[in-house]
Amino acid sequence: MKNLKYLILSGAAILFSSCSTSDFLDEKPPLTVMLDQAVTNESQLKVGVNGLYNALQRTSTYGGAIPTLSDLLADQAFVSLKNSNRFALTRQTTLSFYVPFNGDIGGIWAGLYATIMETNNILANEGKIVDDASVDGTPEDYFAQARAIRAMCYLDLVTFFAQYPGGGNQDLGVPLHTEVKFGLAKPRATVAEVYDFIFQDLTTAKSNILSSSTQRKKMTLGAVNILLSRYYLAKKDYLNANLVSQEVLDDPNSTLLPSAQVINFWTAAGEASTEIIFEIDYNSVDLPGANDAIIATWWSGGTYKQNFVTKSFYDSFAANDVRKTRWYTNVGTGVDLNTYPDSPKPIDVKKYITIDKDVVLMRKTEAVFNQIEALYYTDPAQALTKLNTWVSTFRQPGYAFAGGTGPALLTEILNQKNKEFMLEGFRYRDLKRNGIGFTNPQTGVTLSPSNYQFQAFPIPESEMNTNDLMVPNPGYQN
Amino acid sequence: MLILINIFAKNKILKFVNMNVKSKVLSAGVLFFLGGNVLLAQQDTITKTTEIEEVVLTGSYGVKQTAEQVSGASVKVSGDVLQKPAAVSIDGALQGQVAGFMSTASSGQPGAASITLIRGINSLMGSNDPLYIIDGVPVPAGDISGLLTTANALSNLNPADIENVEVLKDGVATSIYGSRGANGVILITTKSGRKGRSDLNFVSEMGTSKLAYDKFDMLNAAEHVQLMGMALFNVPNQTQYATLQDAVNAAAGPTFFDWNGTTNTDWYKEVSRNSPSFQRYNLTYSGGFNNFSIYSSLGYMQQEGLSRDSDFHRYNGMLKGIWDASEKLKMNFSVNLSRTNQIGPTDGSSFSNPMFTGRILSPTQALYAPNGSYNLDLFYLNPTFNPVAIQEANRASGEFSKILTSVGADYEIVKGLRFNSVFGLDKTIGDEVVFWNPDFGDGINAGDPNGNGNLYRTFSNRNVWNWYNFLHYNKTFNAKHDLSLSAGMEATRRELFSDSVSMQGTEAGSRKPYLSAFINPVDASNGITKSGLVGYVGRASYTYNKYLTLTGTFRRDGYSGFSDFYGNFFGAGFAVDFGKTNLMPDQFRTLKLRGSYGENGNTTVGPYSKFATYSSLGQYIGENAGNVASPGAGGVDGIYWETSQKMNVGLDFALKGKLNITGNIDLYKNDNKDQIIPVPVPSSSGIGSISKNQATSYSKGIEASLGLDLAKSSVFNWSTKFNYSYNDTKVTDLSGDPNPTANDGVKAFFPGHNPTEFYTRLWAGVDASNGNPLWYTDATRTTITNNSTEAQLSFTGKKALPTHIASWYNEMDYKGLKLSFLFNFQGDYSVYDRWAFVYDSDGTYANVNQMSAALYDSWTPDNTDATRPKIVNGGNRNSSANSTRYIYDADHIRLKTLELGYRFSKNALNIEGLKGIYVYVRGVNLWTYAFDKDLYFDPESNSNAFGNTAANLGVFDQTQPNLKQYMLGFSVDF
Repeated sequence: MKNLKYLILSGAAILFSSCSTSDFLDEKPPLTVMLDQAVTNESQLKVGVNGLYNALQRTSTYGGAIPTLSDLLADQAFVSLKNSNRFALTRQTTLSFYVPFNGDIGGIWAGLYATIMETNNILANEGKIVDDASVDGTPEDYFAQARAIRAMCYLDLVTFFAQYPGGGNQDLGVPLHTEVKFGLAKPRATVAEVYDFIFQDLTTAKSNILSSSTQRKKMTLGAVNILLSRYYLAKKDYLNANLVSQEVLDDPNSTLLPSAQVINFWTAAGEASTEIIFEIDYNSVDLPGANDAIIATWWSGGTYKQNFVTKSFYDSFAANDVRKTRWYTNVGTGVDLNTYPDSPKPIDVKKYITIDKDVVLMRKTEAVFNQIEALYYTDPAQALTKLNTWVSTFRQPGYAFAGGTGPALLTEILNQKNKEFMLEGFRYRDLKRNGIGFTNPQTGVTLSPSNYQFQAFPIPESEMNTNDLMVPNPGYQN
Repeated sequence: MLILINIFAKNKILKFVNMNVKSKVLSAGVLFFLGGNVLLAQQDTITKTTEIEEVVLTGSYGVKQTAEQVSGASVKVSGDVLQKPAAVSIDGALQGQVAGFMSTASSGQPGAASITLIRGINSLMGSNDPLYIIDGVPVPAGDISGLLTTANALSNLNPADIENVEVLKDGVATSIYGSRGANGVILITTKSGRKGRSDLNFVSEMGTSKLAYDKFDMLNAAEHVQLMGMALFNVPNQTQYATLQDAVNAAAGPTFFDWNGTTNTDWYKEVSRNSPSFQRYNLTYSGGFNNFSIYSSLGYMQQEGLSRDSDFHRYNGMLKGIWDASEKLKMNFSVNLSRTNQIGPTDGSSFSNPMFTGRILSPTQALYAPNGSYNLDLFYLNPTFNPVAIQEANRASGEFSKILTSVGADYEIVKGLRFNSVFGLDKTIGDEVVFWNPDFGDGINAGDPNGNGNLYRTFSNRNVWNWYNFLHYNKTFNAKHDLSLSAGMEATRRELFSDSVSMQGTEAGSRKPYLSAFINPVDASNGITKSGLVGYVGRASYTYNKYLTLTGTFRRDGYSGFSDFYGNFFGAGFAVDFGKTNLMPDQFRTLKLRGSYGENGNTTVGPYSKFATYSSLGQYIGENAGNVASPGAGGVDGIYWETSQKMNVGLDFALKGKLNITGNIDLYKNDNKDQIIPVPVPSSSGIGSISKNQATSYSKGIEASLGLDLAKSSVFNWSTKFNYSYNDTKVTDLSGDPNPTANDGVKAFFPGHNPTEFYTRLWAGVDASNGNPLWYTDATRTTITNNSTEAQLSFTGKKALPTHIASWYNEMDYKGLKLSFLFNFQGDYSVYDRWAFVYDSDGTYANVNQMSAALYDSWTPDNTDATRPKIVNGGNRNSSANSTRYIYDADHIRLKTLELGYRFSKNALNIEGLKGIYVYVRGVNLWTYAFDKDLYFDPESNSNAFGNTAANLGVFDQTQPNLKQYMLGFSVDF
C-alpha cells in the first residue's frame, strides 16, 4: 500500500508539475520584435528610416523595374529578339504588355505601396520621439526623410496608374493610405487629392529636413527640391517649377557634372560625385538579386544581355558628344553586338556595369532640364538659350538647336534629356506628361495620347480582385 | 541562379524584410510521443489463433484493446510486403497496400520528399502529412532540405526494420493523438527479438533502373533548324527572308545555331546515366532469453538517380531491447542511428537543372568545343550552361544524421491499474553544401565585385523531445462488463536551429567546395524556431458481453503558435461484433459493424505567425535597417486550431468457405473547419495577404477492400487482395469572397470546387484559317477569341487529386517458389506541365529545342487542322500562356512491383547453421499504361516548389522522373 501511495503521489506530481503550461506554451519569436515596440526612441527611429531605404532597394520598384520599364515602354530602348523572356512583352505591337495580370506592373504597385506602408509605420510615431544626443541627426530630420520617401512613392504611383493633372479621368487617382492598417480597402482618391497630399508631405519635409546634409544615399534638401520641381511640372505650375529648379541649381551641396567627369560618372568612384543628389546604395554585402537588378538585363556584359537602346538614338549623338562611346556604345562587352538577330543592331548602355552600382534616382542636371521644360511653356526663347548653353558647355561643344521655339523645341528638349537620362527612369514620365505619342523604331510599338494604354497602367488584377472599392482604369478588362 | 520565368506569373506576395534566409524551415508539426512498446502477439499467416489476445496498439499510449473492441478504421500491413517496392522510404512502400492511402514522390531523385495523403486533402494550406510514429516516437515527415531541392525526413529510416505498419484513418482512432492526427496516423512497429531464439539474417540486393514512363519526343538537329527557319519566316511583315529556305539557311547560320550540318547531340542522353544502379545490404540479429529480448540491425543502401550527378546513400543502425524487469515492471529502449548522403541537382527550370537543359538545349550544339574541352559557347538561354560540364564541376549535396532514441516503462501499480511513461528524443543534423564553379554556369557573377564562384552552406539542427505519462485502469465486472479508463498528459518541445553562410569569389579553375577556398563572405544568417505542445487526454471504453463496445475520448491540446493556445477535441465510437452474438448470418465467419466520430486539430501555421512583428535584421549602408516582418493574425480571434471532424461507418467481414473471403468497407466524411488560409487583401494596404481561419472544406468517400484465397493447399497457394477508394474533396466556404482565391500550381480555391482543380485559360484550339491560337472567353465555353487578354481564367473541370485509387495485390506460392505482384490504378485526375510553355511554345522560344509535335503538328497552309498554332518567332499572340492546352489526363495503370523468388529450406540445404536462403528477382514500376495517348511525362508527377499540397499535386516540374527498377537479391537466415 505504501508503494501505491508513493506512486500515485509521484504520478500526480508529474502531472501537475508540468502544469505551468502557460509558460511552456509562451514562445516569443527570438529574432524579431513586436510591431508596436518597433520605434520607441531615436536610435530605433534611425534604424526604421534605414529600413525605408532598404525598401527602396526592391528590384520590383526603384532597384530595377522602374528604371527599366521607364525606357522599354518608350521610344528609344527595346528588348532584343534574343531574350530570356523578361520584359519581352514590351515588344508586342498589340500592346499586350498592358494587361491587369502583368507581373511587372503588379510588382510596381505592390512594391510602392509596401514602401508607403513602411513610411506610415514610421510616421505614426511623429511627435513621440525625443532627440537623443548620442544618436546623430534629429527626429525631425528622420521624419522629414520618411515624408520625402512617401511623396516620391505616391508621385510615381499617380504617374503610372493615373493621368496627369489637366488630362482626362481626373477622378481616378490612386488610394491614399496614411496609416498602417493591414488589409484595409480604400477607394481611389482624385488626382488632385493625391497631388495635394504629395505637396503637403514635401513642404513639411522641406521645412524639417537637415539642410546641410550631403549624404547622397539618403533624402536631403536637394532631393526634396527635385521632387517639388517634378510636382510643379506635373501640375503645370511652371513659375514655381522654375523657381524650385533654380534653388537646386544654387544649392552649394551639389555641382553640375562637367564634361571631363562624364567618362567616370558611372564607375564606383562616380558614386561620390557631387552631381548626385539621391542614389540608392548597394555594396558588396548588400546586393540586389542577381536576376533582377538593372545589370541583369541591361549591358552586354551582364547576365541576360537583352535590353538595349536603338540605333537611331545612338546615331543622334554628334561625334564630339562626350557621352557617345562612353555611356552608349556599339561595341559589346564579351559578346559581339552584331551577332544579335535584331535589325538594326542593338546599342549597349554602359551605365550599370557592376552589380553593386548604386542606382541614381536624382541628380543636379535634372534641375537644369526641369527648368528648361518649365521655361518652354512660359518663355521658350529663354528655354532655347539655356538648352544651348548647357549642352554645349557640358556635353557637346558647339551645340546649337536651329529648330525654333515651337513644338520642335519641346521634342528637342526631351530628346536631349533622354540622351542624358536614359535608364534613369524618365522617358515614360516625360512623354506622358507632355502628351507626346511615339513609335519605337526597333519594335514598331506605337502609342498615342488617345490610347488608354498610354494614359495609364492597368490597376493590377490582385487589387481588383480584393478591393471592392477599386475602379479599373478605362479601357482595361477587369 | 538563373531561372526562366513565366511572365504571366501571378503577383507574388511580397516579403517585407530583406532576410536572406534561404533555408526552408520545416513547418512545425506536432509530434507526440506515444507509447507502450509491448510485444504484439506473433501472428502466423497460415494458422489461425483462436484465443482472444489483448493487443496493445503500439503507439497508443499503452492503451490495451482487443481486435473486437477496435471501433475505428485502420489497416495493418506486414513488414514483408513493405520490402517489395524497394522504396527508399516508408511512405513510398505503403502505396497500394492501404485503401485510401496515396503516396507519390515529388521527384525520382532518390530520397525525395513525397506527397502522402490519407483520405484526400484535409488541410488547404497546412501540411497533409500523416503523423508517423515509430515505436512510440513521432518522426517528422516532410521535406528537411534547406539548400537541396528535396530531402525526405523518412528516408533516414530503414524499411527493413519494420515489423508491421498500422494506418489509422478515422476520427476515433486518431483523435487521441490530437493535432497532426488530423491527416491520419501511421503507427510503425519495428522488429523485436523473440525469446528463446537467436536469429541472424543477411540480405543483399542489387539492381539497375531505367525511366519508368517517358514519351518526350524532341526534334533532332535538322528539324530544329527547320523549325527556327519557319519561325523566322512567319514573323508578320518581315522583310529579311524572301523564302522559307532563306530563313532556314539563316537559322543554321552564325547569327543563330551556327550548325555544321552534322552535329546532332542527344543532350538528354548525355546528362543521364544509362542504367542507374541500386544496392542494399542488411544484417539483423534478433533473439532473447527469459525476460529480455533484443533486436539489432545494420544496413546500407545506395541508389543512383537518372541524372549523372544524382546519388543517395544511407547507413542505418538500430538497437532495441525489451526487458521484463519484474512481474510488475516492463522496460524498453531503442536507439536508431542513421546517416544519409544525398547528392542531387536543382529542379524546375533553373538552367543548371540537367534534366531541363538536357531536354531543351538544341541538338545543333556540340558537346565539345573544337579543342576538346566542353563547349561553353552554346546558342542557348545562356552560352556557358553546358549541362554535362556543370554536372561535373558543380555540386549540391547534403548529409543528414539522425538519432532517434526512446526509453519507456510500464508499471502495474495494483492489479488493473497501470502507469505508462515514455520519453523520446529525435535529433536530426543537416549539413548541406551547394558549390558553383567560377568558370561557367551559375557561378559567373558578371560585374559583381565579390567575384566568380559561389558556395552556400547550411547547417541545421532539429531537436524534438516528447514525454507522456498515463494511468490506465482495466477491470471486468461480473464477467460481462469490461471497462477501461485512461488519463494522461504529454508534452512536446520542438526546436529548429539553422545557420547559413554564403561565400563568393574563388580562383579560376578551382573546384574546392570549401569555405576557406573562397575570399568574400557575402551573407550569413540564421533561423530559430521553437514551439511547444501540450495535450491532456482522457479515454473511456466499455464493452458489454464482449460484443458491443462503446468508446469515448477527449483531448485538450495547446499549441504555442495559437492566440489562445487551447482547443478541445472529442471522439466517440461504437463497435458491434456479431460473431459474439447469435445474430450473425450463417455464411459469415466474422461480421463487425463500426461507427465513429472524432475531432482533431491541425497546427498549420508556424509558431510565430500570430504576432505582428518588426525585424531590424536588414541593412543599409552598413547599418541595421528595420522593416515590418509579419502582419500577424487577421481577425479578432487571432489564429486558432483548424478542426477536422471525422465520421466513419464501417463493416468488417469474413465469409466461411474455401475461398476465405475477407473484406471491409468504410464510408467516411471529414469536415475540415476553420482552415487557415492566407486571405488575399488589397496590396495597396502594404501587404498581399493575411492568414485567417477562414475556410472550410470536406473530404468524403468510400473505401473497400476484398481479399480471397484463390487456391489453398500444401502445394499451391494463391491469395489475392483488392483495394479500392473513392474520394471527393471540396472547398465549401471561403467566407464570402466572391472571387476564386488563386493558388500556385495553376489552381484556385473556391466553394464547390476540389482544391486541386486547375484554374486557367480554356484552350479552344487553332483557327484553321490562319493558325491563330484560340481560347474560350469564359467557363460557359460559348464564345471563342484569339486575344489572350479576353480569355478569362476559369475552372477547368480537371483536377490533380485522383477520384479513384485501386490496387490489386497477389501472392502465389508453389512448393517454395513465390510470386507476388501489385497493380495500382489511379483514375479521374489530370496533370499539368509547368514548363511546356518553353518547349511547346509556337516560336516563343524557337531558340531552344521543341517537342516534335511543335513542328509536325503546327499550323501551316498545308496543314490547317493542326492542333498547334502557327510558329512565329517571338511567339504567336501569347499562345503559350498558361491554359488547358498543357493539361493532360493522367489516369493510368501501373505494375508497381513484381517479385519471383525461391526459398531453400533448412532441410534442402543441409548446411550446419543455415536455416534458409531466399533468392529472388524483383521489378518495380515495370509497366505503365496511361489512358491519355498524348501524355508524355510520368502520370505520377508532383512539384515541391510551392507552399501547399494542393498547389504541388499534379504539376510536372522537370524533376527527375520516376524510375523502373530491376533487381536481384538473396536473404540468408542463420
